[in-house]
Amino acid sequence: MELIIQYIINALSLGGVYALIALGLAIVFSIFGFINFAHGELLTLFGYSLFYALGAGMPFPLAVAVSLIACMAAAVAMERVAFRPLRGANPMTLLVSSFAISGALQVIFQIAFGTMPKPLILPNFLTGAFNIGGVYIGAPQLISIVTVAILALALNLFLNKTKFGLSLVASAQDFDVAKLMGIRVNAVYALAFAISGFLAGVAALLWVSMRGSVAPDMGFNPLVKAFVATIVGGMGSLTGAVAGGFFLGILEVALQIVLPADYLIFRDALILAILIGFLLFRPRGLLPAAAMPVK
Amino acid sequence: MTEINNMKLYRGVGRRTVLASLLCGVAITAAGFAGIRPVFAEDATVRVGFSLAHTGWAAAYDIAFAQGLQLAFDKANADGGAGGKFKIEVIEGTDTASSSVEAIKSADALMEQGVDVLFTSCDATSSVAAGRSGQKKGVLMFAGTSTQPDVPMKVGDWMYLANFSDNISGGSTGIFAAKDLGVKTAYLLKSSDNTYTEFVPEYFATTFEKHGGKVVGKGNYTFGQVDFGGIIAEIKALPSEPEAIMTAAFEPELPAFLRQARAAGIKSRIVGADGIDSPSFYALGDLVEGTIVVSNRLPVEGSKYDEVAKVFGQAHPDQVGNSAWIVGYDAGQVLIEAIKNAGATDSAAIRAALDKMADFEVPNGKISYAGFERRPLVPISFLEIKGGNGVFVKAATIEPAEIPAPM
Repeated sequence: MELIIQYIINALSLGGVYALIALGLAIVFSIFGFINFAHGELLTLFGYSLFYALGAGMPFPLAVAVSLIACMAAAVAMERVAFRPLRGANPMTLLVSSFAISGALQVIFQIAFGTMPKPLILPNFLTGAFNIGGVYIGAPQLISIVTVAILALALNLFLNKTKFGLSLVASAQDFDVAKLMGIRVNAVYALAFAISGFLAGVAALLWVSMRGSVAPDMGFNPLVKAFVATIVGGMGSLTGAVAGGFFLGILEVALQIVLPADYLIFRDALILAILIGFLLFRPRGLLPAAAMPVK
Repeated sequence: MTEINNMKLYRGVGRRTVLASLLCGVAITAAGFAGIRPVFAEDATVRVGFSLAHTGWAAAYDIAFAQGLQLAFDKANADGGAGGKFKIEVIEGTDTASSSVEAIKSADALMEQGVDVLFTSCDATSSVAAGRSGQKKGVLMFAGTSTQPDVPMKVGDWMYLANFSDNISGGSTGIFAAKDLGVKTAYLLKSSDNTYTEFVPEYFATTFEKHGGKVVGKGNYTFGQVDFGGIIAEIKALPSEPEAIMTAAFEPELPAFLRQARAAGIKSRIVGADGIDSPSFYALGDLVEGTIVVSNRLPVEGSKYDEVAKVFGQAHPDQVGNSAWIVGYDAGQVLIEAIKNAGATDSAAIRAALDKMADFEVPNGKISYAGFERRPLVPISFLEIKGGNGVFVKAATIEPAEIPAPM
């Protein structure tokens, strides 16, 4: 019984991290209609920012706040410099641009910060563990589950109860009509990217607390997983992104348990096969968006 | 008449000279295009190509490896060259970008420039891809910091490892764990995602069991895995906790596994491989305390290694903790010695000298190529992580008869 609870907690925490990254991707997709493949580099940026902030002697909460701000600023800058000039272009153009930004940022990180991973020494409350009735719960696991629950709730309130949030939802549903209704386009664009940067930062904090270091290509793997989660959950659907993240987390942990050791190498191949199945038989995902983005 | 004859003679000689010169020119140009460079007595320069990664994951090792090589070559050139007369000219190739396609392009371009020796990337796939061109052209090659024994086997008789091979390091670790650490039971944590993470624990098992140890279980993980609940449950389900967990896992999977294993109350000692000999792993604090690491370094005050590390550290303070540089420095020393012994600058002569090399002294100990099929026999250094540092425990050279056969 303890073992089953352990697996459920592991699956939920892993799914939570994927859900956070997928949420960041989904917010941008809901407005612009493309997956920002440079989103993974925002995770990396958070890691480096935290490393240098802690190295400069900042207290941990302040270092996290500074890194989150850096992440949000970088996301907004990304939109301003790379995506705004392409406004109105085919989403495929934006997608290719995001690949280019991702590649360029990886090389910039490598030149600026070196090729070797940088160790991140985080406080015990982020790396420790609790034993509750024979079930060991890692602090990052617990924090991941709680953070996703809080952020999902906060995001829901923000999107439905605030003027900025409603303008974002309106833009996601029908961008042209939203524009005609007087919504400030540039502010909505910047806001979407800022939220996406914030979510990337929070996900990065959980990710680095699990892996213990930051490296130039750190963001790639989680981004691919979140990309799968976004498609499985439903492109452009925020609820779908969360559902897709948890679905993927549960699937990964389940495959890890049921696959014999010699077949574990096929775990990711099986996940990608399921993704292909979704694209073929349920292309709009588990919880489709009300309307696909028009931009 | 005499003047006319002289003029005819002059014209005749002129035509013959022009014709001969033209033929020579054509022959030299053709030889140049074919990549053949005549070795003149006065041409005492060995052209060494660096076909290495500057970007991508392999750059973390290739950059430091190149810096170590350069240090060795600069020192030799300052002393008049290898053996006091053969200068070493380094030709930097294009970035292999941790990609096989780019590695082939980079190596081909260097071979067109007529390099005598080629250093390829630590990325085994890139080295095999680039090595096939070098094999056809008969260029002596070293596979960066790569440790996979199948690299020279797949490429052919012109490709050598510069680093110790996995069967030597894994086999040595098995003996060290059983005899020096007194470990009786071990669990193997493997990944079939590459031959390094899959076979190093198996090489370990071969000698560990031969020396009285017992492997009580094996777990398989995949690269990028962040949840190790299944493996941890398997370890906890064993009749008794294994005294050691042997793995060639590295970052980010190993720290993630360790966090979860320690959180689950597993106290087994971690016996790792050379993939975790990095400052970022040492800096993980209590999590990695007591971990055994295989290393190329011999961090002992006053040792020859220490002496060279001080010089290297002045030029590259950010890379001195990366053991790839010392692999490069040692490889540079080996090449310089082979050139000196060959007394020539061409690939074939240097290779022949390399094949005869035995017990050549480098900062980490004695290195032998003779009789080891292009995979050098070198001492393996064992460090224990204490207070964030790799503390030297022992350096051991495995008996040739005990080296596990490559898988």
